[in-house]
Amino acid sequence: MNNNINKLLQDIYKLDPELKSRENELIALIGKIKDTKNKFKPDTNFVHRLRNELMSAPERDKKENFINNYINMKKYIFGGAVAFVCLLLFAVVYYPLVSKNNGDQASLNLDLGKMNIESVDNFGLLSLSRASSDSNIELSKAMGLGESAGLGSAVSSDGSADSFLVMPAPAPYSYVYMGDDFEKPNEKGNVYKRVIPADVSKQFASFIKNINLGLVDLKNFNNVGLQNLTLVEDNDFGLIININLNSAEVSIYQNWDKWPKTETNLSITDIPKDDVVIAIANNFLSKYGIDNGNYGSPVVNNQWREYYIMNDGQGQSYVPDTMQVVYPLLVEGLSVYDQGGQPVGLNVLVNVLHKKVAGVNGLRASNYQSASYELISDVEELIAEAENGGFGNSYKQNNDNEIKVELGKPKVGLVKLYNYKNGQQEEMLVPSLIFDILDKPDGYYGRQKVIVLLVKEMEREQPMPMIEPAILR
Amino acid sequence: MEASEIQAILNCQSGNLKDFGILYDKYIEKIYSFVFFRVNHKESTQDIVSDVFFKALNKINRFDMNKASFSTWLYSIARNSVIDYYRGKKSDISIDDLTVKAEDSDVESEIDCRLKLDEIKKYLDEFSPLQQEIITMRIWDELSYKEIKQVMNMSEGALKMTVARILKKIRKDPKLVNSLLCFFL
Repeated sequence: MNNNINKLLQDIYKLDPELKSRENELIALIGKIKDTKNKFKPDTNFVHRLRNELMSAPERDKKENFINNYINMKKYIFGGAVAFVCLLLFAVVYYPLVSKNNGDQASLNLDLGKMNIESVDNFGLLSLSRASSDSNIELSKAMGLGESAGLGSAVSSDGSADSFLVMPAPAPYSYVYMGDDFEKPNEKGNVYKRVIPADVSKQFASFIKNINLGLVDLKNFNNVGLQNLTLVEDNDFGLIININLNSAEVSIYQNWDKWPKTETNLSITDIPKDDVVIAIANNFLSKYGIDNGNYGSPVVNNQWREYYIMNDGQGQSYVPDTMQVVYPLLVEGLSVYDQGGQPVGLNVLVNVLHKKVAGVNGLRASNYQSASYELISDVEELIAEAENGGFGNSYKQNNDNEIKVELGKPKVGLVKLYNYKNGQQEEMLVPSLIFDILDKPDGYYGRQKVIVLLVKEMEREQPMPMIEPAILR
Repeated sequence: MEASEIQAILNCQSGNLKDFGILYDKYIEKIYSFVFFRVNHKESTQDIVSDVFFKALNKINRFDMNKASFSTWLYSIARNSVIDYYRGKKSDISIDDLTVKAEDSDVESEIDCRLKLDEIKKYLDEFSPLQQEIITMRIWDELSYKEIKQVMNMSEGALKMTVARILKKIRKDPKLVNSLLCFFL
């Protein structure tokens, strides 16, 4: 048998072993498909026309573009940098290129690793909503898909994962609080708004302008800022470091060209224990001087295991090769969560096949304004809201067959939401109660946590009524 | 992902959308053939493919390279666009199906391809829907084993949830059981 066909067959059998018994049919089918595929070509007129339409598409709605939003915000001057990364940058890249005066070395120390919080009067009436990308993560986790299961979120046809392949039916669950009594919250609490140090991009740009490219004199351009900087490690298991100076954020990715392209079907026994995965992440942070002082104790995101257990033995279980270690962001002692109640902060992705860190995200400057707001302090009211599903609760139908789900004692934290104001989205941290689900029923696919926002005066996102898909009517 | 692809994505996310052209050039033929195989209708394919790339362009800011490759992300958008197409498909035939447009470059070739695909689908019909998807993605779409797992994993998860809910509904509603039995028998 031709080697190519054999490889195709082996891949197909890995996905569905039952197809082995139909090898002859498959070989015939492969021949037909390949033959047709070789003669198939898209309409070139259409291809060119679509390209032109895409390239001349109107500028995207700036409401969608967080990077542009931050440029228009008020400017606050903070000193600081992602110290080590910046120093590494200048030692490796800028130092040989920047001209020296009298032997002095050029340097820039921005100290962005330190958290800065400035008190302000208030942010006005809050109009809070989920950002669809974060709500997808919550929904994806609620569906048991987890962040490390492939896409990390259910991607819909519009690419934003606002809807699923099959639209979920209204949740058939009702919540009952079974936790211990808890203290009523304080009457007032801080809401935080993230702000970006706007002059960081200009300070970087001032260095760039000193580089003589021999192509153009950069010094003649005025009032410029550097938006993005990407470094690429050219060695085995190399990484790509992207510094986004508009959002003051550093992201690290695999340099795919330098990682082995092995496809291995991992089994659950191949996955190291959490403490091993965390140790790999900790070593990486230590080696590259990534300060995790603003974050709490790391935890491994094991949500993919719930999906695995559900599908175990059915040939469709997926064991990811990358584990996510989350270092939850701490702001004035409170942990930060997403709208799904999952910790938010610094994420380190560990490739368990090669026992190496494959990526880092969420590493960013932590500059906030804080304003005091009145909080709901009536415990009964808070429990009632939790039993009603909390923030973003699903549209409930009258259903006598609802399954009761028990809620445990809540913890207090900050939930990351977005305040829509003057055509822009502001990232906010809102004091909230996060209720755990106790003893999930078999096949449970509802939310993993119930969130109750504590701020009194705000416009709340209205839950969208879910249309029951035709298949269930 | 290749470094050039990563750079193009980063540039797009920084606001330099002209680099989307690099991504478009790399994936247009793959996505076009992906959709055409499943839809087997030129005009519908073009509508869906346009939709896919406009959605990718509009949402590229939300794409996270740490969670999936761009290829996987784009294929998932395409896959779901095809499903949306079938959900909204009307049974009446459009006049466009009957007329040959003046700008059609190669009508004979297109018809030949459609006929061949119809024949292939007859063979594919001998397999279960899931098996058809696996075979199509590996042979026609030329996705790797890992990419197929990633693209399907999300969809399978959602599908299994739906099946679980259906079964639950059946257990609770005896009349539904009878209706289903009548249908299959």
